[in-house]
Amino acid sequence: MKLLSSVRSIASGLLHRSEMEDEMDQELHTHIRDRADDLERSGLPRPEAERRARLDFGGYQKIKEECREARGAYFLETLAQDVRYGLRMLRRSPGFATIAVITLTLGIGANTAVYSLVDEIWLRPRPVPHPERVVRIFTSNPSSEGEVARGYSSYADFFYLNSGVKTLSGIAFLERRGALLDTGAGSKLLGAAVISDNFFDVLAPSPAYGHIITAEQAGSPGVLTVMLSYPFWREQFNADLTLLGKTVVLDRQPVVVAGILPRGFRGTASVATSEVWIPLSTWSQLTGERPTVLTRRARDYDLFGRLLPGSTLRQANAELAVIASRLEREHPETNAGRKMMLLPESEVQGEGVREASVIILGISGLVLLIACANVASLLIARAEYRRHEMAMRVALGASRLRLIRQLLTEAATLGAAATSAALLIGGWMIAALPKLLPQISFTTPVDAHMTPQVLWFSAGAGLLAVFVFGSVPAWQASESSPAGAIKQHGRGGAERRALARGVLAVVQLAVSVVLVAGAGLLLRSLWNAESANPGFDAHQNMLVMDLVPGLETGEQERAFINEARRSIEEIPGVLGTAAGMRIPFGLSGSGATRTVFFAGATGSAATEGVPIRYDPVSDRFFEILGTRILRGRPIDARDVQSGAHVMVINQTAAQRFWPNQDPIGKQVRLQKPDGDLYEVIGVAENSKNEAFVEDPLPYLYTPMRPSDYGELAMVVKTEGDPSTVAGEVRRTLLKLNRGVEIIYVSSLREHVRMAMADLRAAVELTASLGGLGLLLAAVGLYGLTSFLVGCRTQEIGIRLALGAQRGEVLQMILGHGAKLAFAGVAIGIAAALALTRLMASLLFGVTAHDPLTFAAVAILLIAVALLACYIPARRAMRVDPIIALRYE
Amino acid sequence: MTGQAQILPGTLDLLILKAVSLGPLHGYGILLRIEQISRGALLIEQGALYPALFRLVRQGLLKASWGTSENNRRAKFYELTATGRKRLRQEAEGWNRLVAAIASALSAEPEKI
Repeated sequence: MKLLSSVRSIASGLLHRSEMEDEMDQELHTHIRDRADDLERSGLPRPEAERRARLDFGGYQKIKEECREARGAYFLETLAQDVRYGLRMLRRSPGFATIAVITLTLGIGANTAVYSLVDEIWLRPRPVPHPERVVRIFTSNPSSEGEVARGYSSYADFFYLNSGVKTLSGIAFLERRGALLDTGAGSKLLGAAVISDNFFDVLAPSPAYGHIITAEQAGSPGVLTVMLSYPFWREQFNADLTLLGKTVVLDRQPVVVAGILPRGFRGTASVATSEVWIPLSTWSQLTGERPTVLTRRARDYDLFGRLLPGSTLRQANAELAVIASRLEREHPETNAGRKMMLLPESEVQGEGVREASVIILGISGLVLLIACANVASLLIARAEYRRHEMAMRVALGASRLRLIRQLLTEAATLGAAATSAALLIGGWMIAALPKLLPQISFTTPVDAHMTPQVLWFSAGAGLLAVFVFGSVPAWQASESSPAGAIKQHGRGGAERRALARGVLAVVQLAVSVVLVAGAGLLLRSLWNAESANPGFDAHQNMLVMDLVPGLETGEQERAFINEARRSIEEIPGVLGTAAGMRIPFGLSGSGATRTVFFAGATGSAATEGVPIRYDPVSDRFFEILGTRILRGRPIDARDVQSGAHVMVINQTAAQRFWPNQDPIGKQVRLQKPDGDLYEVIGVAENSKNEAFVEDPLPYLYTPMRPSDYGELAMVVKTEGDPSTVAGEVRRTLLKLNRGVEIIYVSSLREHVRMAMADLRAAVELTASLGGLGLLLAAVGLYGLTSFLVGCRTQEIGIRLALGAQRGEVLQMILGHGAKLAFAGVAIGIAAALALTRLMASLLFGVTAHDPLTFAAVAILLIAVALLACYIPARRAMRVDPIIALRYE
Repeated sequence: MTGQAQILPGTLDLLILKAVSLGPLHGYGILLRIEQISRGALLIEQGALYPALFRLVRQGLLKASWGTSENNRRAKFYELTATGRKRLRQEAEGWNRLVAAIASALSAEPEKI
């Protein structure tokens, strides 16, 4: 009963407010008049009676206020009131409202977009049931270069674990390979995840469409099924639902697309995701590869597992330690010194991008801070014009808390408008983000999208922004003393306001310095990377290709390539060709190694050998690419023809393995302790292979053998623009071998440019955010200086009338602006010095405290700040003293 | 007039309920009746009356309807609801018990312990 009447009371309070007000007035007035009547009857004259009655009643407005509160709709009612009032105030100053909303929208929108990216690649748990129980299992790799704790495991390891781990409910593996998709218009190399048949049983994601391949289905003979990733399906097949259950041609065989994996389901890559997921049974039929328990040495698998509900990580790790030592005992030749351990997938997820993610989030947070400072400054300026209104309300009995609440509600209205706008453009910005990010060659770009978490984050950012920019002005504005405000000339808190705005401007400038410094350092890194010597001639005219000859035997493939090279070299404009299993920054990466056994080596180098990255190459490889041979000679046609056991090493290898000696003539054994002897015939300069920012590693080159022609790279050096001969080259290749697959063609310059894509992306991202921040800060400073000029118009008028030169006025205004600028830049430089340390690992060729960069940033910021002040200062100069003095 | 007692906040509601239980009244009338039934010992502060009335309506103990007062003015008349009647009885009983207990405590003589 009480609840019902409460609700009814509140409802009628909200719905019939004006009626309620009238009724209340009527009721109270009746009371007062009845009282007056009584008093009159007791002898007082009417006017006196009425006066007494009113006085005895008490503070009329106050009592009405208490009645309203008692009625119970009060808080909501006043909230609604405040919102309505706020909207009205904003409508009255559309200029201010627009600028404030746009500023906030940019700040919140940038944060939303960045957060959606970080959420996708790191924060959000994978879309599987109980993601906290999914673990990753590592086998340590005690190589001579230092132990790698988180190494890959072998098939044998997987098999062993799968048959007997008690704390885990299932073990699955994933290996990243490549598969060729026949798109109808050509071939496309896909990032493929080769998985154990039970992979989806262990991880159990719910498919976005279609169905998940179970171990049973995968193992059925004659059935070739795969799953596709969501972003790949959307890009390549335009989200065609009829694809489910149909076949696509993978590695020249038809496979059935069983289903589409859910968004956000990723294997082991941090940023991109494998496009097609192939169970081992299917993969074996496609490629003939069939790993067995005897495959102990090849370590390419990432192992996943699921903790059983009762087990803890510690128990599981303990069990793994036991198993590892058992394997060590039983198979010392492959498992000696190898330990196994597991980590929760959530810890492993996003590794490598974690640091960059936090930095980017920090940067966008700083941009939001600048935006908030801008809006706060604007609000403080507006408070100047609302002194009267505030004072009036205080006089009428509004508590300070009530005023603050009202101002905060107005701020919240701005914040709400900006957040909604930010969500709208956020969606667009998120879609545009992948364009800014590195295009890793054969994977679809990261699928950042609007999720509930992103929405919440946006709302949260908006709310935080409101508090940040709303509270100080609200506090300040509510401090108005009624007496001072009612007087026309009351300076009131004008000085305090100007001080507050000055502080805000300094803060904005300081934050901008930090942003621009970060962007500047990255920019220099990019410049250094681009001008660094990559160890080959990256600026020449050259066509680079990845080919899959697809012939029956290696001999046939070698003959084809030799013939192709001869024919291509006859094309006018072609200066020469070369081939190799890989080229720098190539598609297949350069992680493959040959195990080298050095004479006189000790320890694991003697028993296990040293894995060294390598590349089988053709004749003229070094000459065409432009890699200098520093000692000895390069690999020539005779070496390749005769299958000579020779090799060329790079500088790092020479320095590391034969320091202070001449490596020419030295011999090593490859692959096995008693394997073939190879002789070093030359030393080449170091070249970059994987990334521009890589550290130099030892590298060796051997002559190509027939088995190396399965998938190879070919380069064609041209006189002019390589794209002019591309068509002719392609035709030549196809004429000689109709079945050749050309899976990648590019000019060398473009190819190299792509290799720097992630550094470039980082620069673009930070530069745009930094630029945005700087722009907002400049606008803020401009606004402040304009405001000050407006405040001091009278003073300026007086000065001019008293004989000051206009130039002096300009100096005065600029001087004030310069003081703010210097303060801001000084604080900013100090802050930047402290913070850029955090991005040290992303830099190349510059230290985090590079003085040149910092000096340039300081000069730029001061220049921008002075420019922002200059425009209003010029206006000050033009003040007409007569008008200024007349204006009150 | 005997010494005027201070009104404790909770008792205002009780007095209003009692006053209204003797017949529907408008605000001013309630004021007068409380003075009347307390034989002038209790003077209600006028400012506290109407917020209390609104509160009692919200709590469902009184219900209000518009009518005309003796002076031919439109006034809001309050009367007890069933819940109000029950609450009045409960509060009155509780109050009486309290009063009796305190009176007994205050009349304790040294020998009687």
